[in-house]
Amino acid sequence: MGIVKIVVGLMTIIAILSSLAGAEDYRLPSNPVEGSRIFINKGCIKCHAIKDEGGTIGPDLGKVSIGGTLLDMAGVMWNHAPYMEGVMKQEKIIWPVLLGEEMASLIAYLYFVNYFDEPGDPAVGQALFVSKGCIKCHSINGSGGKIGPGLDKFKQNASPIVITQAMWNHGPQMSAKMSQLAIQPPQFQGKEIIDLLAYIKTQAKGRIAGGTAYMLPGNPQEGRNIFVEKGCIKCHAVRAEGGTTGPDLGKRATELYRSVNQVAGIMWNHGSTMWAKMKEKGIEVPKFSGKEMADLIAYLYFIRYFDKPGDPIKGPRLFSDRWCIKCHSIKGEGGKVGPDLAKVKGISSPVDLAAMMWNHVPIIYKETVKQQIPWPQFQKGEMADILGYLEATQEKPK
Amino acid sequence: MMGINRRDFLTALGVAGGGSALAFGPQVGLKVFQTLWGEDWVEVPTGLETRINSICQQCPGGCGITVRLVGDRAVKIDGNPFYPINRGGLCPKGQSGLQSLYDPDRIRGPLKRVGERGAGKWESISWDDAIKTVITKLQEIREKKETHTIAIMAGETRGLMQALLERFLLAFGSPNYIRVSDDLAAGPLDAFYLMQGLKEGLVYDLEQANYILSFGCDLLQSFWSPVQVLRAFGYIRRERGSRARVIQIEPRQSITATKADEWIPINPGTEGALALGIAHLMIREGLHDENFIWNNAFGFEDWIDDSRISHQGFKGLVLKEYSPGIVSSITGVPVDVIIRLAREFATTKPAVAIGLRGDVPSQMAVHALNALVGSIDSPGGVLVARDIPVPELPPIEPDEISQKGAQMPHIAQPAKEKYLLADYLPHTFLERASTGEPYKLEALFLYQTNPIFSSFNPEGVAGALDKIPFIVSFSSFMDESSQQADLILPDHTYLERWQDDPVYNLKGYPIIGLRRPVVSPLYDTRHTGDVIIQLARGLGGSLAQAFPGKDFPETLQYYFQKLFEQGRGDLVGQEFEEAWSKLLARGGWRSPSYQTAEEFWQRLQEKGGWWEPIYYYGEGERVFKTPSQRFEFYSQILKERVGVLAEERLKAIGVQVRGDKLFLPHWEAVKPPESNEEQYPFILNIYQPLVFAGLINASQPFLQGITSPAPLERWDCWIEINPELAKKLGISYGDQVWVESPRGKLSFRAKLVEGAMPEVVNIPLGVGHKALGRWAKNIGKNPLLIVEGHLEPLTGRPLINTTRVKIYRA
Repeated sequence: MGIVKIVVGLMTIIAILSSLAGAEDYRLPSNPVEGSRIFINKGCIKCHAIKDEGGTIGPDLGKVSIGGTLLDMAGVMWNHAPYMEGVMKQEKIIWPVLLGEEMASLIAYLYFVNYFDEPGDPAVGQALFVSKGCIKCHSINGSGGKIGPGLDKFKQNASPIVITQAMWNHGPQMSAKMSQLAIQPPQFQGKEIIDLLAYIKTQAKGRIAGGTAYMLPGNPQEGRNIFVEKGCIKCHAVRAEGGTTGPDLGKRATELYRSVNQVAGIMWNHGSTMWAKMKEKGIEVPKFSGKEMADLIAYLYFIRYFDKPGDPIKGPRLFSDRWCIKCHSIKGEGGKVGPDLAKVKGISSPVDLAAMMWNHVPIIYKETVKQQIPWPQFQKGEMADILGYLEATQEKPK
Repeated sequence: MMGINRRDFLTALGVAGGGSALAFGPQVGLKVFQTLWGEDWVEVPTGLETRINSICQQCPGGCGITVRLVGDRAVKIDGNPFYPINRGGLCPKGQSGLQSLYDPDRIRGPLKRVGERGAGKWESISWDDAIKTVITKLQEIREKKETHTIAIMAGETRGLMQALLERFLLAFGSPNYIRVSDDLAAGPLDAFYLMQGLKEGLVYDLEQANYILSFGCDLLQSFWSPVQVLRAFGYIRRERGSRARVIQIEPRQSITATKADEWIPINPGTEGALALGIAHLMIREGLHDENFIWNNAFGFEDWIDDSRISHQGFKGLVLKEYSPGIVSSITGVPVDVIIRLAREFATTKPAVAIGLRGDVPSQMAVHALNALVGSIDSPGGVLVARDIPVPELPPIEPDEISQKGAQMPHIAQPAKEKYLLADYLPHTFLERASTGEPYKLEALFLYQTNPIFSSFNPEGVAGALDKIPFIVSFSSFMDESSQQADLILPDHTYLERWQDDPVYNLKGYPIIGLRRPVVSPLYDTRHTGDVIIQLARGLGGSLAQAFPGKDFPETLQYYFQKLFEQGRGDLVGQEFEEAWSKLLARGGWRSPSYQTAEEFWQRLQEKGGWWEPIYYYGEGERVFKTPSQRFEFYSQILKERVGVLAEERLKAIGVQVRGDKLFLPHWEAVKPPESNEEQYPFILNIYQPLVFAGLINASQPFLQGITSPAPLERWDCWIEINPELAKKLGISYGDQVWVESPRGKLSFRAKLVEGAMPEVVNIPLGVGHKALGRWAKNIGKNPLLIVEGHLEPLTGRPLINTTRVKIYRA
């Protein structure tokens, strides 16, 4: 009987994972940081910086908000391509050619940059430690309450997510204790939690062999598994797949596109409500260990990343309105300057098409100038529409 | 058949005509034709062009290199652009490394002495016989239960190779590992220990400094990692935008002095006094960093100990004894210059003061300046490099004989009340080897060291070696010390072997380079690591169990596997990768560019090394390991070492001052006991030009060809004297001149330079070998032969620039 339950449970998980995977397009990255190598190797770094490190010709991509969906970000690259092409020519930089996979990896990296917290202010954190009431239960350097453990016991140079994960894991007990003592559970706004963590980090006294205990950044794929396995999906849906007790996180994706500890702060803020609801429904409060919380938050962070399927009506219209048809044809219909896009080989996803477009920018730009066609600009969602259309019209290999 | 082709002929003409960058001196004809007609004629290589990354070993700097090969022949060495020590740059020594690999005078296989020691008569033997000979000797020693009577003397060795040598001794049962320092400038390491409690990890963050005050440290020539400094120099003076000021204080106008913003000539041996004069001014004018001193220093103000005894602090001493007037009379530096330097140093932050490892009080005086401006553990100041991870080898279980042997006193450990700051000393070892006290040595292994050449007293060293019945050298070249060996088991050159290279850069990051063979071994040589493992296995028992791999490469892979398992750092990368790693680390993250151990090993070979580009400021426990856990102006470590030594003992070891002053930075004249200033009016100042710094590269003709910009001095040695002095002594440029000290005399070619102080005679060190192959033997003179053996009273380290000389035409 027990085995049957396990098998059924596993099958359910597999089914849910498959459905989530389908809903989230084709490329939930397992290691979004991997794209940093492409950023360097393809020479993007010569013009762009990430958080002050890199070239200064283009904008610092760690500071401007470019976090749209994958194809929207490809659209932004496309829209700026003629300017980039001009600058690169001037600087004698060769136009970087990208495979579809490389483009996806690069964009995932740029999207992921803001997952990492900005440095907190320990002085502000120290004030918050008092004003948020943490000091009533916890001590640092012997000063503070004795109800909870001293927070200076955390290990030096460890990731702050270790602390927020511990907060979550102990949340229900803390909540009960606070309720007993008539203490209002603290709520964190903006980057308050980051400042608080920065203060705790500066006071940490725990020693680590080798001096550091850094954590690998969250893995969104693992995070998706955790979302299912830890039962989050029982209450939360992602784009209508999952429970309805809590909000559909697909609809809250913009709120979850924040740095890791800010998202952890949001989880904490809603903790009391969630724990109460779980208790009511007889669901065990999930506990996280290792880097599970970092993975889960990476997944939540990436919910916003995925495009909705292209609009089958808008796609062909854009193909014509954006002058693509002047040079390209689809199944013989259209211009003859460029190839018939239904016959192009090696396309397995819209991002492959986006990469192909990018790789041909110098030629296309030359042609648009020659034909006095304005450079086509794509607004939010339009890349998905047009690439969806092109993908749908691909001739299947015989 | 040997021959000469058109290209070589034209090269020879170009060289002889002075048109080549490597133009030779007067002996050009001889040298070039030796090269051209040498027995090792080389055809132009053909085949596929490839590049392999590895690590240079022409000096201890640890630069990453990229070797270009055509077919199986290495044809060019460049810097590895990924490698954080040199970022693609390479010095002339690094570029000349192929001349070490293809040196026609390399030892080509194991040799056994057949004549008298030093007679140069050898016979070739097989590796099996050679290993058997050593094992038999070691077994005899072991059977007599005298395992402590073997010793290993090793030069610039670090990482796994050092660990294996030490492990071999421990498992065999001997405490006698003797590391011989190459004496390249690494800063005032004794002061670093006395004032910060640390024996290694002293680095200067030059790239962020705005004011660099160098007290005799020839940064661009003989610093331990010259390419790092050369890069930093270029960065802070051009690339960075805001140009840092560099002040070079020394008796000779060195390359560093020439490139600096200002050269301050100073009486030799008085640099410490100048540092104290600057400190006096800063304190008197309230320009010191009170905040740093209040929070992080000990012994600045006068203080009272637990027994209610009051002690003098640094401030009181400096204000009392080192006014600019007094300091000016000691140093010869004008008062107004001292005042200006003090004000500039105190107000142009971040500022850093760099010294040499000379006499201890002067080292402390220079290092104290860094604390006065708060430049300890701060950007642009003195940093404490983060620990290089040391992957552990499996534990060893020595048997009873080995345990007993390893517990015997170290042969090179000075007597308890002599050289209070020395753990062991190479010259103590040689004295003991000579006298046979406290025990007689039965066997000595020489690894990457040539003590006969690098000592003041080659006859003494040779005499000491003569008393040791069995000497094995692992040298690739027939150097002076190997000539005294019984057996030579030649190592591969660094371009033929696997090795790790742990090092840190000037930002304090730990780095581990991977040295890998770029060509197959040219001759019948063998990795000394392999030999040590074979010896251990041949000896059997606990020794055989002590090594985890069957050979050195396997042990190296084991070592890197352990590093991988530690989950730290990443493969070396470009500047952005460094910044990205730091950005991640700031939030407690890391994202290595590999997933598995196999991928790590594979990519390690491609990139050339591993590193952890992170430095944390404010880790007090790591930066100050003194009794007070602060920066100690008043060294409690020194006080504890001196303890209650009787007056006679202090006098006997040459310590001149008494009381609190002994433990504070101060200045005392350093001169040999029998100094006769009237008979010997000049001070001998020996310096190391970049090409020979470290004393291992004299056999490379490219380097002999660029020892000096002036053609006359190449392939030779010279003295630099002031033109006014020369005129007075009737010496003209190019004359042969005797330089005579109480110990002896040598003749050199005279070079008249404005940058020589009138009372100082400067001589470069590096040539003057009596062995080491056709391009080193009998070329130039070794000035160490006329140096008086004066030792620093506390550390026992030789002070080579205290000898007085006279000069006259030969």
